Formats: sequence, structure tokens, C-alpha cells
Amino acid sequence: LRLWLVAVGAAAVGLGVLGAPVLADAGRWQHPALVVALGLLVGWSFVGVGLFAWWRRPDNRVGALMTAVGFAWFVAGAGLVRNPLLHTFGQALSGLYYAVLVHMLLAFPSGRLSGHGRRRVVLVTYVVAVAGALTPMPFLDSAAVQHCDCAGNLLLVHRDDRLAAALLRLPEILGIPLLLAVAVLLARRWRAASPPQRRALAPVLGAGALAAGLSGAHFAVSTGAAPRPVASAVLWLALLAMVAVPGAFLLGLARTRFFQAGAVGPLVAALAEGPGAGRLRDALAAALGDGTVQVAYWLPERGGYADHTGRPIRLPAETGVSGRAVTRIERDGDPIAAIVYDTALAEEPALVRSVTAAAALALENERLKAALRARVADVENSRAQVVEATEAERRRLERDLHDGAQQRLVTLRLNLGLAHQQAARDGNTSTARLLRDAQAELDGALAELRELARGLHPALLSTRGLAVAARSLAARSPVPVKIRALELPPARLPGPIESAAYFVIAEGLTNVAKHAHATSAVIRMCHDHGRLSVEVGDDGVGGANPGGSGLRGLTARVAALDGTLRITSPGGIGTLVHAEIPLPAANGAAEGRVSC
Amino acid sequence: VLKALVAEDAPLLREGIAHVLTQAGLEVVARAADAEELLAKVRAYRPDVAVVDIRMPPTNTDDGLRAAIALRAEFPHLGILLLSQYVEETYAEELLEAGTRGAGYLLKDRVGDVTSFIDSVHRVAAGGSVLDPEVVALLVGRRATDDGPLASLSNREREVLALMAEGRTNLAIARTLFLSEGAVEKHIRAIFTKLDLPADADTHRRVLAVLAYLRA
Repeated sequence: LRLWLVAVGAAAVGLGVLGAPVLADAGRWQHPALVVALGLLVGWSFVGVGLFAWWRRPDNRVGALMTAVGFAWFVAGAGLVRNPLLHTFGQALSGLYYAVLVHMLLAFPSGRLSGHGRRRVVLVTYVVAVAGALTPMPFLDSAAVQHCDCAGNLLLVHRDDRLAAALLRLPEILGIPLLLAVAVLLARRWRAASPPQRRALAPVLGAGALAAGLSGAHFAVSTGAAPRPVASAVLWLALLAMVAVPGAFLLGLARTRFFQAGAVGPLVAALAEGPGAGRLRDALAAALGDGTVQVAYWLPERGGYADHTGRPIRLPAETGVSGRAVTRIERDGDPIAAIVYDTALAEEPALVRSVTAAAALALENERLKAALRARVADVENSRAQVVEATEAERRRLERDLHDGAQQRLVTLRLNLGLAHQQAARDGNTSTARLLRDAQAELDGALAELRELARGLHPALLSTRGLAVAARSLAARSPVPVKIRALELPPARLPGPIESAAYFVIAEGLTNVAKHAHATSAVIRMCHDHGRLSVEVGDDGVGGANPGGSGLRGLTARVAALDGTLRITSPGGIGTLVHAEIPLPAANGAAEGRVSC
Repeated sequence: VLKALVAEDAPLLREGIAHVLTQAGLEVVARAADAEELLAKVRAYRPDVAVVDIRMPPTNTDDGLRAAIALRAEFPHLGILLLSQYVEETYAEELLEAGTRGAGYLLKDRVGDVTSFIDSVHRVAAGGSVLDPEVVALLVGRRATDDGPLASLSNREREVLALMAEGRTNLAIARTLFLSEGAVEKHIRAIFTKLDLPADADTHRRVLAVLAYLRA
């Protein structure tokens, strides 16, 4: 490729060097040397910059297109020489460079024409440019029309000045809507572009649009009857704008280069300050100039990517699809992270490379943190599942007891009652006494079973909610209970929270009855900033043992919901059991409603 | 002959209860295994009294209670005796709130005390009210926690109050506590004075006053 590019470059230089003196001699301009020098500059800079871009990005056609603009420019120049053959050839293709320029602008920066609209506009531009120059030629005696010492037109069949002039206006008429279409496409392009894309687009599109506009104007005035000074001013401006296009391309490259150098410095500084959880992403977004940057950390145990909080992220399947590009960052062959960014940044691989290299260590750090968070999230998740499963199991057991053993024993109790009645009626007193004893025994068993089932899961809690169930607990306590507050959020709380709060009160009151030697107890439930506060206090002897199985189980139960259980039990002045359980947003945690 | 309906989802127990009722001379006109069937059959058979399990399909929570409350409005003269596996004073209160006339709430185990159970069915059918002693104990216990007038009752007065709340007649109270009817009358007057309730000669209205007091 390199050899080929050098050859092409040499051809361009050769063409220019050979053509320049001939052109300067053509006698068409007031300042031939200057015009020719500028013309050369335009051709060479297009070819030079195009070849450079071609060499650096062989698979991007922009380089090739720029080179083609340069050559088409030289061909157009050939139309101005005295040699009839060259003149005819150059004249016929005099509009080609313009079409290639439009092609390049619309294809910038990817080099591909995406969309039917663009492809059609480019095609029409080619046709108009070539056909527009070709059709007048059979009737045009260029030498006579342009009042110069020019070469004859070899394609001249029959000289007809009026027809030729009319046909010459044709591309001009067609060119105006075409130019408008190009302008619309470019404007649309600009509007849809993201900031990093605009950074890349701005110089080339700006200069290109200017050059295309001025060249169009030049065509118009050179064929029309514009006053000479205006025509020559437009010519100068058009030439300068043409020179500006490759210059702008170089400027764009330089800008991204400068931009890279300027980006990595502040990034390294920001990283040295030790960015927090989400700040690494922000630092990368700032360094890449792309606010949409996402950082995804590799979590080996999950075999997937996650954000800094451990939430899973799916990477776009392929770079460029859906406007997102991905760069995977590896260390010693193991993936660390991936950066997902705007496709436009794929045009600046060096920037992405240097930014990711600078951030690799911080990314590895963040990855470890993300992995830890993901693991904590997993543990919390499975803990919640255990809590829920336990809860469900307790309900199931209670239901089984109710539908099974309890029903059977009640039926048995009924039959014993009937048997006793029968025995008494028959005057069989000893059997009647035996049956009465059995009934009493069964009553005891039923009462115990009832307590057991209620302790597993009180049906009342499911049907009537925490406040009613708590009131019922207070009524059942052998030690008088004062209800200081039962202020709960309006909506029912999640089952595990209701259960935990219920059992804090149940276990608390059981302890009061069993150990506290209290004359009264107090219960209180309220919520404050999304936390449910549950309290059982008494005026007993204190000295409760938090390590006792009941309180230990309670502590675990509350902790499983991310809550805390505190037992204050100084000797002699009673015991206070205080639980705090975080509430979900649905229960007013978000509004921070307070009832404590 | 009193017409009775038995609503209970456990078939053995349902038949057992129906048997006890039949033996006691009632006519069991219909049986129901869930709340919807209960509603439909009460409408179809117009029984005098329904013995209803609280926890029945479809949801197996408090379907029987909700059906009973619906029936209270529709059939004011239907006696309803709720049976519950658990002592839930809340449920008893909800039933009484829908009307104390002919309403009863008993622990399921009580069906085994055949004589007393049949007595409860008759009382409910006659428009009286029946509360399980354990429910009354909870209601009284709840009121006793306040330092209200209930605390000023003597132990004997409290016993009398509880039996009144269970729906017993003066005669039954006298027998249970081995007192003369006159002594029971005297206790009741003392209770009404201490609780600041309007004195009333009618037993049923007195029971209502006591229940209202306990539920307040």
C-alpha cells in the first residue's frame, strides 16, 4: 500500500510540475502565477492530506476521496490549457472535482455514504457535473466564446453560441437545488451529532461547505454575465476555501491529538485524588468528552459485567451497533472492565486507548469494589430469600396444623363428648369418668397446639395487619400492657417486616411475663424517616440476658431485614427492647413521614 | 323444630356437628363447605341458626366471618354461631359490631362439651348472644389494663360481669357461681353503678350494655 501511495503522490507532483508552466502560459488571468500557485496548492494539499489519511486509516475511504478530489482538480485544470486534446478532456470533466468534494463531505468522517438520500444526492451530483460539462461541448467553440487564445474544442460539431450558452446554464439551474439538498443533509447530520462527533465534524464540514458553496458560485459567475471584478473575487475566495478543506482536515486531526494530550492530564490528576464509587465514570466521561460513557466492571464469579453498584450491565453486542462502541480493558489477559461510549469516539482510538491506559489501575480497583458490592448484594438477596422462605414455611406449617391435626383432634373431642354423654346416660359412671379425663387431657393438648400454631404464624396478622395483631398480643399478656402508640404507615407492610415486628412484641411481652416481675408493660410502634421503630418496655427487675435463645433469635430475625435490635436492661429499673427495621419506599420511606 | 345449617370445610367435623345437632332435636336443613355455599344455602333454606367455621375456603382466612357479617344485614333474625380454631377477640368484636342479636363466637373445641354447645346454639337461635369465656377474659383483661372503673370491681363482681358477657342468664350465673339469684341481682346492680351503665331490668339489654362497655 505504501508503495502505491508513494506512486500516487509522485504522479500528483509530476502532474503539477508539468502542468503549472503550461497553465501559467494559458493567458486567461490577470495574475497567472498566483492563480496557478493557488491551484497547485489546492491539488497538492488535497492529494497530500488524502494520502496521509489513506495511509493512517486504510479502511476509511475519506483519504481516497480526498486524493480523488485533488486529481479531479488537476483534470479540471487541464481544461484550461492550449493543447486541444487535453483541453477537451479537462473541459469535459471540469465539474468532476466538485462532485467528488460533495461525495467526500457527505461521507465524512466514516467514508461511507449511509442512507438512500445521501447516495442519491451524490449520484445526481456526479451526473450533473459530468453531463453538465459535456452537453454544451458539441455546440461550444470555447476559444470564441471565452475571447481567449485557447485551444479548440475537439467535440465541436456545429457552433451555436446561443444554444451553448443555454446549455451552459443547465448545471447551474440544477446545481442550486442540489446544493440546497447537500446543505440540508449536512445540517441534519450536525443536528444529530453528539458532542464528540461535532468536535470531529466541525472543521471539515465547515470548510467543505464553504468551498462547495463558493465553487458553486464560481461556476455561476464564470458562465454568466457577472462583472469581471465580482467573478475574479469569487474565484479567489473559492480557491482559498478549497485550500482550507485539507487544512481543516489536518486541523481536525490536530485537535483530537491536542485533545488527547489535554484529556489524560486532568484524568490522571482526578484519579490521584481517588475517585469515589461513581466518580471514576464521571472522570472518564470528562476525559473522553462524552457524557454518555458507561463503565462496566467484569465480575468473574458472575461471568458478566456490572456497574459500580454491582447491578448487571449488558454490553452492546458489537461496536457501532445502536451508536455505542465498546472497549474492553484487560490486565494480564484477564478482563477488568469495559467502557461503553458513543460510536463517534471510535474515530479516535488513540484517545480511548490513552484514557483507558491511564485509568486501568483505578478501574481494577473499582472492579474489586464492584465485585465486593455485587457479592454483598448476592448475600443480601439470598438472606432475604431465606427470610421469605422461613416465613412461607411457618405459614405452611400453621396451615397444615390447622387443616390437619387440629381438625382431627377437634373431631375426636366431639366424639369423646358424645361418648361421654352416652356413658352418662347409660349410667356407666366409671367409663364416663374415664372419658371426662380423656376430654380434659385432649383440651390441654388442643390448647397447646393452638399456642404452637399461633406462635408459628398468627392468622390474625395476615388478615388484619400489624396494629390489630399487636393490640391482640397486648390483650393476651398476663401483665397489664399500656399501648403508648401504634402508628404505622397507612399501607400494609411487607410480610417479613410485619412478622418480625410482631414477634419482637410477642417475645418481648413473653419475657415480661416470664422474667421481669413487672407490674406493667408498655408497647410502642411508630415510623420515622423510613424506619419502623418497635418498643417493648416494662417496670420489672431488669437484667435481661440478650444471649438468651429468644432474644438471640429475635436479633437475627430483625438483622435479616437490615434492622437492629437493642436491649437495654439495667438491673432494677426494667427492660427495654427496641427494634428498628428499615421500610421499603412504598411504605413512606421516600416521603420521610414521621410518626415517632 | 329449629332449622340449622352447618358450614365447615372439614367433612368429618361437619358431619359430627350435624350429628350432635340432630341428636339434640334440631333439623339440619343444609351443609356448606365454603363461604359461597353458606351464603347460597342460607338464602335457599332460611335456617333459624347457622353454625359457621371462620376459616373456610375460598381464601382460608376469615371467609366464614365475612359471610356471617354479610348475612347479619340480610337476615336479621338468623342466629349465627361462629366457630374458631383460635381465640380472636378481634373477630368476635367484628361480629358483634354487625349486630349483637343472635350472634355467638365460640372456640371450636367447645363442640365437644355437647350439652353446653347445644345450649349455645339454642341461645343464639333465640336472639341471645354467646361469647367464649376466653374471649370475654381477653376483653375484660384489655379493659382492666386501663386504670378505669373496671379496676374498682371486686373479684366476685368481675366473675359475674364475665358470665354476663358470655351471654348467660341470671339463673345460669347463679348456678355457675353457687349463688342465689338475688345475690346475682345485687352484684349486677353494683357493677352497673360502678361502670356508670343505665340500670335495666331486661337481661338481654343488660348483656348488650356490658358488651358495649367491654368493646368501647
